[in-house]
Amino acid sequence: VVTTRKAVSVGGLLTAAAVLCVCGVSIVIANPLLDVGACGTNSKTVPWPVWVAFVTAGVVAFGLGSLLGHWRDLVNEIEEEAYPGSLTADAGLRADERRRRRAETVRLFLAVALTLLTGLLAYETWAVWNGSPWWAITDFVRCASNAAMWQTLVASTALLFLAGHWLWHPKRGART
Amino acid sequence: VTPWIRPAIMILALLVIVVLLALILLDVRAELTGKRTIGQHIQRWARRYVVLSSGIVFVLGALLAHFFWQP
Repeated sequence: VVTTRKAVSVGGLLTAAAVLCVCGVSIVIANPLLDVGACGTNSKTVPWPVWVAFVTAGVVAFGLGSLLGHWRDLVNEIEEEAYPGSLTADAGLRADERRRRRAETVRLFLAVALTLLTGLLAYETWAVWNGSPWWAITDFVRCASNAAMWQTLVASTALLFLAGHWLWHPKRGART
Repeated sequence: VTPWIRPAIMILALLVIVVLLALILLDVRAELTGKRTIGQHIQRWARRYVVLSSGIVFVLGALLAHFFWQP
């Protein structure tokens, strides 16, 4: 059953996907023309008032993602968690096994993601602190934000939208 | 200007976009087939580990402020 909430959720996600596709195509097309003259180690941030746009868009996207997360349809989650009364012992065991496998997958994904994040942060700290011969992550991001400004703005906004959508939400009881 | 900058920017940007697109499409597929979405998996984890998820949000915010704001 397609509810209004589900339609809004899917519509929002597909819109985000379409915007990201436009960004990707424009990056590929405009790549040979990018002005990368300002790039290098210790590169500068985007100028005033562009950085205000980055910060404001990020905060607004985080808030919007959080609001959409509050409003999201939770029917499929609740249905998956519920044990139907007519469930046989065998089917119950299979359901438990499915949940255990799913929980292991989520744990593995989180462990890999958090390890990757820690590694990247360690590299960034080392590169910024020591003045590494290799570029710090900051240099890549600042280079991209200067050379491909609106694409970087869209990508950072999309990241914060997803962070707000997934990580900032009320307790389930508050919205059901 | 070193010659690898333009391809490096393109590859990094496309990598971020492809990962986000994959997550979005998997989310939509799960939503349409009535299964729990990736977002719901992460939300469930974030509900259980509030301090850790708040920490990730804090780190993400600090990083973006450092990238785009700090001189």
